[in-house]
Amino acid sequence: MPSPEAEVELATLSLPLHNNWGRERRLPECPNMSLYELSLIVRNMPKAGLVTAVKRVSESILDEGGYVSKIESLGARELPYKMTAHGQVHTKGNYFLIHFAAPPTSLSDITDNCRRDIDLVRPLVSRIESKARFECTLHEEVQPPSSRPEVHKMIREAEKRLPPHIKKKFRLNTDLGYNPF
Amino acid sequence: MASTTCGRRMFLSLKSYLIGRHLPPGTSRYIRVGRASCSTTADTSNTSPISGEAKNDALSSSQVEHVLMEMREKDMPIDMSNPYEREKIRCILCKYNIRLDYKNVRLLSQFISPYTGKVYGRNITRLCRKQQGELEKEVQKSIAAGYIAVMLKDVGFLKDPKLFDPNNPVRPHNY
Repeated sequence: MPSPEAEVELATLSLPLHNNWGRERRLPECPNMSLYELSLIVRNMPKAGLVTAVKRVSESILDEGGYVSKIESLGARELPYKMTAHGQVHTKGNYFLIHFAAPPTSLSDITDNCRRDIDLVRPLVSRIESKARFECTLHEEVQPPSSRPEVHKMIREAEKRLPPHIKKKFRLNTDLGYNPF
Repeated sequence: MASTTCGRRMFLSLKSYLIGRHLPPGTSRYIRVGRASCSTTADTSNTSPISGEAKNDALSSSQVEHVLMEMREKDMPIDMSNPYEREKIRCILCKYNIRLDYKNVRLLSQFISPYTGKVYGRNITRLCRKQQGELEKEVQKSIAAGYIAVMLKDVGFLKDPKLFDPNNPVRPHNY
């Protein structure tokens, strides 16, 4: 008889610790796999029920051809708002995080399995992406509008969108302010 | 014309000082001037404007050429970035290299109004455009995932340190 503290048996790849910065989107060994994070809210159940629910979800991921790398429990708490799932209204839940690598084609199947599971209140799969390093542009944005680059861009765009009777008007390049003819 | 008082040496002009900088180390830098001739002095021995010593200190034409060449080469402006350039201001998230995450409810709540439960705009949070976009995206994701409330800010986060003053925005707001 499995104890409530039974370890979930998983097929794991030796992946480095989860780190949001500078992380490869795809595993170098398996170019067809993408890294995902499944944020799970499981309904209020005794611990044995929680273990079986999480185990079921992980096994469904493995069935679809994914590899589960990490399972984290974020604890039980009162939900920020009432959630309805499978005909029941939930006010308390248990939060879990499952990090896995899976081919992107099987993602829809994984989310479908999660939605069909009556024990899960709010599953959300999100992709783990490395943040593109960008420069902070605040010093440009606090300038007065006449010297802001985004305003210049807007002006150029507006000039492009002028109607043809203004844009394509013939302009005499003379210094006279008027047409002498 | 500089005067000599008690044998004090003075530069004739700025040009002679500059030339003096570029001279080879051996030569004497000062062009000594003999005592000026004026009506009061009765001395007739020092009537010549340049004394014998000064003649030896005169630069030859090749020396002058050498000096001018060196000036042209060594005194050119150096290619460098503007030393008076002000430090660019950065938004608080970029400055401390903080990444927003939908799971980090407390950090996201710091940008949410305790009165309306809505995310503050750029004029209040003073974040750069990209970070503000990220913030809004992460808050939406957080609400969808069920981590953060829709219309209120968690009571436990009300006493969190303020990253900005909502009553002092760049542009007036309706909150």
